[in-house]
Amino acid sequence: MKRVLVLIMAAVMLLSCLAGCGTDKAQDPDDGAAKVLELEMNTFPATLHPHEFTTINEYCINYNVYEPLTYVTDDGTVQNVLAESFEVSEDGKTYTYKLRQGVKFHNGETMTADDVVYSFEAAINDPYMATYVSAIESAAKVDDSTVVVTLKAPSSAYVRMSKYITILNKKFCEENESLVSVACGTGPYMLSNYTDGVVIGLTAFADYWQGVASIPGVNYNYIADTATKTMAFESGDLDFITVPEADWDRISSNTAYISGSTTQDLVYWVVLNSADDILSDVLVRQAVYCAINKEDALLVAGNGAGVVANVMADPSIIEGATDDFEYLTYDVEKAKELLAQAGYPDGVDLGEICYIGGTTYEKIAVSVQSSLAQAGITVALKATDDSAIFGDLAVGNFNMGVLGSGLGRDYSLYSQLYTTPYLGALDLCQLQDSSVDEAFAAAAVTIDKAEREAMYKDLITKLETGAYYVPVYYASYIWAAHPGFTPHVDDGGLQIYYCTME
Amino acid sequence: MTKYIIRRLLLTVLVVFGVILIVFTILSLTPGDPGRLILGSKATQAAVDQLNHQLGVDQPFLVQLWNYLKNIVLHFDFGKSYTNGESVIDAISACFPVTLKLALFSALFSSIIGVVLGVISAVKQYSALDNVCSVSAMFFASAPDFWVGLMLLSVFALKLHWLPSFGIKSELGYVLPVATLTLFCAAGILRMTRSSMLDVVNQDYVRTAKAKGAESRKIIWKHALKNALLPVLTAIGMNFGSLFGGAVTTEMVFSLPGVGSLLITAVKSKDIPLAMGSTIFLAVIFSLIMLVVDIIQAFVDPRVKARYTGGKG
Repeated sequence: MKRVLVLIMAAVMLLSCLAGCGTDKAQDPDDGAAKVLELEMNTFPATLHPHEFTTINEYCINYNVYEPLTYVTDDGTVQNVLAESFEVSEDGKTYTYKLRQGVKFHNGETMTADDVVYSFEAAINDPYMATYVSAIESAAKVDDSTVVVTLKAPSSAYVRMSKYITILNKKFCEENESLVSVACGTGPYMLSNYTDGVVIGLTAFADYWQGVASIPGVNYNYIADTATKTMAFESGDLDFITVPEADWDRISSNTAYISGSTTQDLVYWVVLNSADDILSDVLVRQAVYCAINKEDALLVAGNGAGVVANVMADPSIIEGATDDFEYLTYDVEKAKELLAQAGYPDGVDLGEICYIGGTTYEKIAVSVQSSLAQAGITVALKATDDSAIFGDLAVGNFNMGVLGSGLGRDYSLYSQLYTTPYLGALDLCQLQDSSVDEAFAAAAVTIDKAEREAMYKDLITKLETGAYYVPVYYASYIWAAHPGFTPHVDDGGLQIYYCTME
Repeated sequence: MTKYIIRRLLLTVLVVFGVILIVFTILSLTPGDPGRLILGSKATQAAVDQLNHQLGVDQPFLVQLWNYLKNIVLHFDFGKSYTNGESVIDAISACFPVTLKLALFSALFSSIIGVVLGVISAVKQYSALDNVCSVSAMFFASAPDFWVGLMLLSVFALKLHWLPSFGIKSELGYVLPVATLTLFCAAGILRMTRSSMLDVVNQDYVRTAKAKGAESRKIIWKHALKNALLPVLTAIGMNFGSLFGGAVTTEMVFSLPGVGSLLITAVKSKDIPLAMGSTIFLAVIFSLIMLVVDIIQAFVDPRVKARYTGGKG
């Protein structure tokens, strides 16, 4: 009896103390509101500035808050968003945009040509946007509804890249020192709750130019742990998740959920340091290429959720990319033969393969190590953390490495992986070949599509057979939702305006 | 006694300085370019170099360390986060209430549960209750807290839908993380209380009290427990201190925005000012709690007290 009394007292104390807890940081963003969509994010955005996103989460949130002048869909169609129409000059260097009238920002201001020019100038001067604005010379206002953007040279990638230049409200930006935790776009959702490290809440914007969104609000909840994320979804606390590869079979086979996969711009690859003593020999690199069993890697690392990659840029989604050439394939005997030709008939030790520990990269590295061993190539595994690996790879302090990239849906952007200006940055294979630099530069200013694609085909053939990178597989965006919620997933992740929820 | 407190305070300052030196050195030696991490892979090298210069990370190690210490001592300035530019002090202040609540409630409940069950276990040695308590304590002391957390989530959030699976949108969000830490800490306190009580209940003065016909409940809770509590007090204090730093995994599992989560995020993104600030903060908290525990112990334990009061005490 006494023991029971003690336990009851302890329980009462627990409840009474917890009842007294205030929520200092977290606030309930949907108190008294209609059902909002509950989503997750595995990293909390460092900034909500739409031009300074470095993670997919930041991009996905901004995608629903801010809008560009034009947007290129996954199938390559150009859609006018905040531009009513646009014209390109004959020399391909001048883009004249007629702006949509009556578009409101979330602070009630009406969008003007000044806002558009301000946004372009902000992007041009922002180091985060360097890749996307490299072709732009200037932006100028013609009248209240017309803006002219001048390029340094004709650019095949400009229209695709300009979707990242979302339109800011000049007045709002001048009033706020930074856009880290505030936002004011023209998109269907406006920021209603920013609780650092906890949640970002969006509410449907009543004056949205396409009409108010059907889903009244969205909460992006920060959940760092993948096991917790899956449990939160299964318990009904989340409406939609990107499914961890390890849970894909279980979740996708459960009829209580809706699940699907969408192609995304993400390829996992193995980079070979062409400045390395042994890997500078193209025959050794080709041997490595032929020795890697990509299907095994996809199964081990991606649980089968993806497509084996033959070329770095996925031809099904990246304009200018092709796999219409004879590429290297998995062939252990050929790998051994190439090694023998390179002077290593008894196999070779290539040093280390580095990767970020505890991630998909690690699984790929383990699978690659095992594949290479079949061909007599030995590599040691070297786990590192995400803050260190990029530094090592960028300066060539490695033999082999495993990473992934989603550079954008235009092949001109792949110049970052191979050309001299990006040495010390994304030219991780350490290639310094002026003919490659010139070929990329020439293709980027070629407006004729057929001519440009022919140029890219030659370039891709040269780069892929040079085996600087071994593309392993194209990852799929795998997701699951509860019945009643119909997701609309595209390049930018979940486009909530087009989703429906019962 | 004042001498003792001053000596312990000076030691605390030395410990904190040592922590700053070690953590700063380790973080400086780890590879990774802060400018590149902030601007991302798509920024030009020139922009990265310029940012590194602005941040001062291109300066020699000793200059960076000197500037860091100078700013702390003179301006109480721990710098700004590399990732979002927020003041480190503000970031920690925003997260601390969550960690404090978690640590306070876990320490409170684990102390109550651990001491009460520990005493009962010792008094009823080899009984069924003692066996259950001992085995449970061993289990929860050895089970990793993230695993216990996930198991609790699985039962109370996933199966029963009684409690939220993440975050602290309501007070209920604290229940599972507090329960996870309570189970872990109570196990240690229970074992310590049990063994300490077993020592005491076999002492002559307890036997004498029994022989004189004193009420058994009074002997246990008033005389024996008071004497057995000294090592338990130390264990509780240490638990409380380590709960601030040790709650890191629990905060991650339950997505709580505490100092532990902040520290993990900072380390992962090589946000040196934030990682340094969080580590120093946790070290200071731990040192202060240990200081308080030592002082209480000095007051409670006549042997310690006598050493500093010239035997008057």
